[in-house]
Amino acid sequence: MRMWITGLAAVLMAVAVRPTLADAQTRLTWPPNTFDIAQYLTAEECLAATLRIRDSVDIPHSLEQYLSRLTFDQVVLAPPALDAARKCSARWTGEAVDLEEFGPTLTLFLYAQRDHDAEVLIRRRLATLSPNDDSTRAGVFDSIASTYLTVTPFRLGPAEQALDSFARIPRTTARVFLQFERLGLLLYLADVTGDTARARRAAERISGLASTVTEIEKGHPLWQYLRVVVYRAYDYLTWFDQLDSLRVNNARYAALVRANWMKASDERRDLVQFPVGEQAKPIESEFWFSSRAAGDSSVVRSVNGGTNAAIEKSRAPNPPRPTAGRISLMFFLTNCHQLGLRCWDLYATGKRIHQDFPDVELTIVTQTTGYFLDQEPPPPAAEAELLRQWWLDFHEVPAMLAVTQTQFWRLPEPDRRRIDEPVTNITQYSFGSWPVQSLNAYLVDRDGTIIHAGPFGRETERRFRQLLTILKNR
Amino acid sequence: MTVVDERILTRAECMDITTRTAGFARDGGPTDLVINSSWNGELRWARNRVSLTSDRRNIQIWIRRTIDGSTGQSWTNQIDSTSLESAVRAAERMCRIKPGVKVVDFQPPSPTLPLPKPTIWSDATYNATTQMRGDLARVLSEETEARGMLSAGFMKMAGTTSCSVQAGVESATASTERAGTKEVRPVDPPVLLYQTHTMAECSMTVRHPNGVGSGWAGRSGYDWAAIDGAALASLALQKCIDSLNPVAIEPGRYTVVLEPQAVYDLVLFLIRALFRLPAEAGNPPFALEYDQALKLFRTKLGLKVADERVTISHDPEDPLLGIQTRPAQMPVTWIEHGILKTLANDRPSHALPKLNDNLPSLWRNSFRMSGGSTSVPDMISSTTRGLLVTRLSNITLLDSGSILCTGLTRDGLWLIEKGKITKAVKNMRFTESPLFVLNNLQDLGMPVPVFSTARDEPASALVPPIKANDFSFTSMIDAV
Repeated sequence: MRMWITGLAAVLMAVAVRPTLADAQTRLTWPPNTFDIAQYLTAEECLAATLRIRDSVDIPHSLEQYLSRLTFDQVVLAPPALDAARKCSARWTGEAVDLEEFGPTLTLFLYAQRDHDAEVLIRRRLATLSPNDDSTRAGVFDSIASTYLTVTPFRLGPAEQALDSFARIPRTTARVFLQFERLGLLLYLADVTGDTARARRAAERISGLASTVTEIEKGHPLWQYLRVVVYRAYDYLTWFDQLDSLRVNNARYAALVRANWMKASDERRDLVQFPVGEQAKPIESEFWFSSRAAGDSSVVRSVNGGTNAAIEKSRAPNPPRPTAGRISLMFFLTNCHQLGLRCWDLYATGKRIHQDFPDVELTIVTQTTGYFLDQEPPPPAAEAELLRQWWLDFHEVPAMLAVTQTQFWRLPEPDRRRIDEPVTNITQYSFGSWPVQSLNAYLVDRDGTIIHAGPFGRETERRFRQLLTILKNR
Repeated sequence: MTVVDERILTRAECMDITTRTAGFARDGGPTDLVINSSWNGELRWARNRVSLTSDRRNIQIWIRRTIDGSTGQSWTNQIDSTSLESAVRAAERMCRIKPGVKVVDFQPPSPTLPLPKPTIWSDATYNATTQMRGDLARVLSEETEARGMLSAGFMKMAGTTSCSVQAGVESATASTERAGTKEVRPVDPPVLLYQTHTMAECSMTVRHPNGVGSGWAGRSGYDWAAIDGAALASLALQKCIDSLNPVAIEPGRYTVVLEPQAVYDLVLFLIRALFRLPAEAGNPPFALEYDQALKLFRTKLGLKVADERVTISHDPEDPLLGIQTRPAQMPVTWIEHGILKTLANDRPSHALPKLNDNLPSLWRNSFRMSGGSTSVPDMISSTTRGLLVTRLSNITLLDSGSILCTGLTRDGLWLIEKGKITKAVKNMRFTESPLFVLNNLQDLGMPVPVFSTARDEPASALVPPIKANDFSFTSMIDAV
């Protein structure tokens, strides 16, 4: 009996502690999940590894932020990337690293937050420059400035110092144009981060530099882009004047904004084409969809998005958008399925604006393109329905959706490429040097005047809020 | 369930593996599988003696798990339940290690695309035995040995199944059900894409023991019954004998008679350049000037790019070609009577009216080229002075804008004078473009099957011999 019980107990114990065969499988081993920095031998390789880690962390982090809190916060380097940069760069010091590796090493030091080593490295590099070699000196200072402006987090102070040194080098057209670009970036980053003193200095420097540009230089093709940088500087310097004007009436505000553009572009008053101050035309579209997220009970059923070749046009809102008597924000969007994060930024910002300004009317303006992801090319009604599902059902953007059926023709066989005709909404909201660009928003006042047109997202959210607050309280 | 007798997995066995593997998945999400099983029977001989004979069988199962946007994958070559479960666990561990990117954009269900039904299975290939290969190799090398030459060759018969499936996909149409206290959405039954194909090839090189002559012949396809090994051996031997003691001639531009194998070797580079997107981006050879009004680059679609006697096409269901297909592969005509009709996309192009328009056949090792009725002897007899080329090798693309290639002649190059082959010639390096050659045609012959240089995929081509003007040879080489 005792032996029987002992044997039974032994069997039961064996069964109880026996691991599953799958868990005990040893043919498949754990994959390596540690970062072996010893395999990276140069600063360039270390930098590339750091950036890969940064990107692999930032994207899911951004998605988590978007899905939960609707904000992005990416001015700091993700800890895993910071750790990788520190460990990988530990073998070099500012005093001893080969100056042939100046560029990637400087960037790596900044990512690793070894600013002291970066400064030592810069001093060593500058010490090798001949005082008469303006070209090389300009290149080095430009590299230093652009590095400080593009690392995460960016260093505005050292960048400004580098640009000060750059400015002391004798003038050439190329250097002036470079300065505009770097100062424009400095202004933008300072404005976004709220460093108002530095932003003002950058804007004033751009303004001063603009007064030295010759007529011949203004004929350069690059000036078409750089004059926008100048305009942004004037815009920044007169921003509070603009807000004060807007509190009075739209005409004074528009005159001030347009004056900035005329000054930057040298366009004649009677020929200037600029959105601010113009009357917003009604949006014309064949397909309209209202948004549950916006609580919009006014318009319209969705169109049956089947393969029915007959086009069903839905009833347009009455009165048309932008609605007279309401403040409107209109987003011109295309190709969001290719732009990913940038569009999510717009959705998130739009939702926050809607929460704080529920009376502001939001409208997404888009058009059919003849394709949608990997689907069989849909007819216009079906494509409009897919766009509705995307923006209104899935992302729950609290906006009305206006989809224009784009007219097109095809190149003859066998090419058959689709050639889109201009869309009325795009034509009516494009003004000269200011065409409609995807991800731009147009802010329209109650009387139909375009108050602001530009990129819409978290970086410009503050400006839009300031304008909306004034318009709302006026 | 373990495969014991069969060399390759059947459809039912693939479904069984799929069902068991999907059953091991935890935490939801789809499970993707690609199940390949293959059998290869090979024989290699050199210096008239068999040096290797093999019968290889393999199973490869690739598993990918997707859990909350994170993916992980693993491979196994075992099909018992323990191994499959271990592979699934390994894939799921990868999901946890690597942070995934959640799907945050709207993803409508992908369209179901039709799968062509190609003829790429041959019982003659699948039933070829090791003994049969050995007997054939002996026959092929006996005559060569009797003539005092050395032969080397390779023959292969293979059978493969390829099966891809996605299991565990939540149904988009069925309504949710309750499982206990939890709401679940039923999964759609997995849809298997199952294909089988066979491959067969036989090639043989005959060389003089002193290295003063060489001949080659080969064929490939899916059907061993269509490959006449004995005929190939005779041809290779004859070419070797005819190429003995070659003389050197000056490089330069010559009228050439290219045998089908040489035509295939060169035209392959043209086929591989037939892409739409580079042309639409303005890149030669198939882009035209920028159209300022339309703001796009015009292409040469619809324009003449070759001789009007040239038509190059491909039909995945062509029984003479036999290729492994993918969904949405449709018959395509690349060049029709010299006019460029189609350029391939490697991803859906957004501008064409139908999805199938975007994905023509991408197996560019297989194609059918039109021909004429002039035989090779007739081409030779009508040539005052030229060269007869057996095949080309070591071809490198020099300039993608003109498809300019350089390479070597090989295994038989002969001088033609006054309508007759007069002497064997030392091999030469050529520098030529298939576009130029196809615009300088004199004659074409009947298309015949050739030996495809693709590996591990069924591929073949039907190519004619051609006679062309001004083919450029740029230097002599010493290699025989």
